[in-house]
Amino acid sequence: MSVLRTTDSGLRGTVALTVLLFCAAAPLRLCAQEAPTGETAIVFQRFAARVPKIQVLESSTGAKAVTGSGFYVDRMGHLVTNYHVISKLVAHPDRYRAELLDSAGTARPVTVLRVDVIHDLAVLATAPAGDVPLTLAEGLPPQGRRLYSLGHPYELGITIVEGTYNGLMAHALTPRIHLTGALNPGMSGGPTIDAAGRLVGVNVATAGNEVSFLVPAAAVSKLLTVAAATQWAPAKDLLADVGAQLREYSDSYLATMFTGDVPSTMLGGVELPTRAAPFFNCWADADREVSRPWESVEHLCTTDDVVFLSEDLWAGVLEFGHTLFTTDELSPVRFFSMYQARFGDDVQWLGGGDEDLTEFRCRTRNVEQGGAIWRTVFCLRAYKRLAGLYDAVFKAAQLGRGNVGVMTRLTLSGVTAESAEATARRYFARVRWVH
Amino acid sequence: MGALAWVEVLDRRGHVRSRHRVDAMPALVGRGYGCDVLVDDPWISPIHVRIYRDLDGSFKVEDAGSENGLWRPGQTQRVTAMPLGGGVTLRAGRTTFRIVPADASVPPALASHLSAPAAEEWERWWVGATAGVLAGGAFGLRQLLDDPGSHRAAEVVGDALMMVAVAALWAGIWALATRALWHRARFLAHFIVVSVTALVMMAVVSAVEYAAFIAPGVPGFQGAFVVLSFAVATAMVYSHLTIATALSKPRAVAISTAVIFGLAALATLVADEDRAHGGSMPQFSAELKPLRSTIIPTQDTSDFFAGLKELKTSVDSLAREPE
Repeated sequence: MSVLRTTDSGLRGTVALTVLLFCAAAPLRLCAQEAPTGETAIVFQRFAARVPKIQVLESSTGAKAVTGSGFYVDRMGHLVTNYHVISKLVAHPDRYRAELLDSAGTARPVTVLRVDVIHDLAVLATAPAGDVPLTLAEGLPPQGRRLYSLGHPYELGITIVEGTYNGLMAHALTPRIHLTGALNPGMSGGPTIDAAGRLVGVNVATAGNEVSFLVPAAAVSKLLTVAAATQWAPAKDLLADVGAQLREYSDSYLATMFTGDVPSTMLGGVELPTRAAPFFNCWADADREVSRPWESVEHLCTTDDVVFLSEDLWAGVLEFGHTLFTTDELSPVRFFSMYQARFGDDVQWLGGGDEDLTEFRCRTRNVEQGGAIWRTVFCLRAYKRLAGLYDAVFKAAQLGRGNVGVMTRLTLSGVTAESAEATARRYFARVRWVH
Repeated sequence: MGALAWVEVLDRRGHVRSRHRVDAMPALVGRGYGCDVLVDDPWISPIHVRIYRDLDGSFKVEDAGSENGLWRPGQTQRVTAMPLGGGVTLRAGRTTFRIVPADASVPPALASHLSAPAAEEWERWWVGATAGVLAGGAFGLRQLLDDPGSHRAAEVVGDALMMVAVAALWAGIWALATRALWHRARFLAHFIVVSVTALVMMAVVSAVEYAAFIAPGVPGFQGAFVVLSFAVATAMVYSHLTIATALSKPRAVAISTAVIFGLAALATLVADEDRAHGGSMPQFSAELKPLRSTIIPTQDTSDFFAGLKELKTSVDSLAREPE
């Protein structure tokens, strides 16, 4: 471990060890294909110094709170990293400060100039010290292209990971590159480059098992253009920018949701919306246990897109689903007590603490819709520090059928109250009892 | 023949430890077996005190030539002889005596305030049995309806018996308290009170649930439920108190109200603590009841969504609250 941690003089040793480790873990065939003095070592040697470690420190103790990676984008001391690496600093500038550790191991203070919370990017500035930037790749590489991810995983020092470009993620609201390669915590904000050192994407997330995700270079380019247009002046109020970006983003994707042609599904004689947009993943599952005197069928649509706000708070959660309950054995009174318990429990956990969010306030009514009577609930809570943003939960349970119950729910997080209400209204309008 | 006097040996707190009858005069008190009153105290002489009738007919006490003498408690002067009068307290060796003539007067009996009340009209075994069966049955039925997973008769009967057992335990505690004050425990009365309370409480819960289901827009069900359950609980404590004690009506009302409000305040504190930790899940009135849709009052969908403006105002004001 100590070898991996060293820099400069230990670099060659580190390379050999890293490569060896990956060879040992990879299938034998792969090792045979790669020459031991391969491209990876050359890429590492040429570009590793352009990837400093980014640390967010707790102000009073100077201890590390978050570590990540970044890369220089020009010779004027500007860098790019993930928003989630420096999110604590944006939320509490009074409690944290940030610094980078360059390839020489020197710590240099950095400030946050601008953020793009939707794509999870941030532009940082430090005093220029002759750092060499990475260039951005034009367009996307062909699928299967070998790429190299650089970063500082855990506390292991600068590391290079080989990966394979596998195109843009199918069905995503915000574009993400699917990389087959093992990205690890701490590599966030580091670059993934091609053999020529051109930035293809920014390391952002992993789903484990070598399924990793990158922010495309195009989003970086866009953010840098905005920053350059304002002469690299720091944003006046980063948190206000975060709020504005979330409002604009959610309003835009909710504006057309459940309008026009929405595919529908039938559950217990009720027509319900499904896969309202290509970025939804819809699943269904039936649940029947012999020991239980009722059956349920669940239909759930979710997206993979969430916007990181803090460790326990994610905006952009977009989820809706329906559950059908039926029974042959239970009397209506007993069936409804089960139905009632499920209706009360069936809420998506949205996280967040009372520092960031108010408690939920709910409105409950019995409402007639689509030829049936529904117990309808709409709950709202406000973001305390991001004005105009809310989490919303809409729920409805069909009433009046003794041994059949259909309930539906829609969960939206980090949206405007107006969009949430309009979306829920359109959603509920799609619900019809066909008899 | 009646006693002439009594010699009472006292303990340290002045309570009588043993009492000796003196039938003839003179009488001797000491450690020797020839004495009329024997005292096992190594500091007492074999013959220590003599009680005798003087020539004038009055009783006297004198030191019979003891080693350690005869003393009046708290005084430094040895007593050689003194009249018995209405009774004297003396110390010999390390023992304190009271010597009282048989004709000494005693205070009249204390008047007792504890006169056990008569059993109430309703305090009958069959009333208790009916209340117990109803409460147990109602509880069993509630459990059966609330938990569709359980449907075996044994479970229902088990729940019902559990309810009865808890009621009996509760009544038993009150009966013990009652027995401490009176000669009777009045278990049956307490059991009837707790059974009826349980029945009323279950009825209140169901009524409030159905009301909250039928009219979710009407505010105050939570409040109504709290007020009603307070009233029921206070009535229960009041009934127990009137059975167990002879408190006046206003006093019993005051005590029972204070007890219930004290408990409620405690519960509120605990609930507040909970809320501070678990506020991120929405709390809504999720009642679903198997009523026909024709009898459920409904609202228009557009009215429902129009009402969300208030919701936004309400969470906005929460967000503005200083932390």
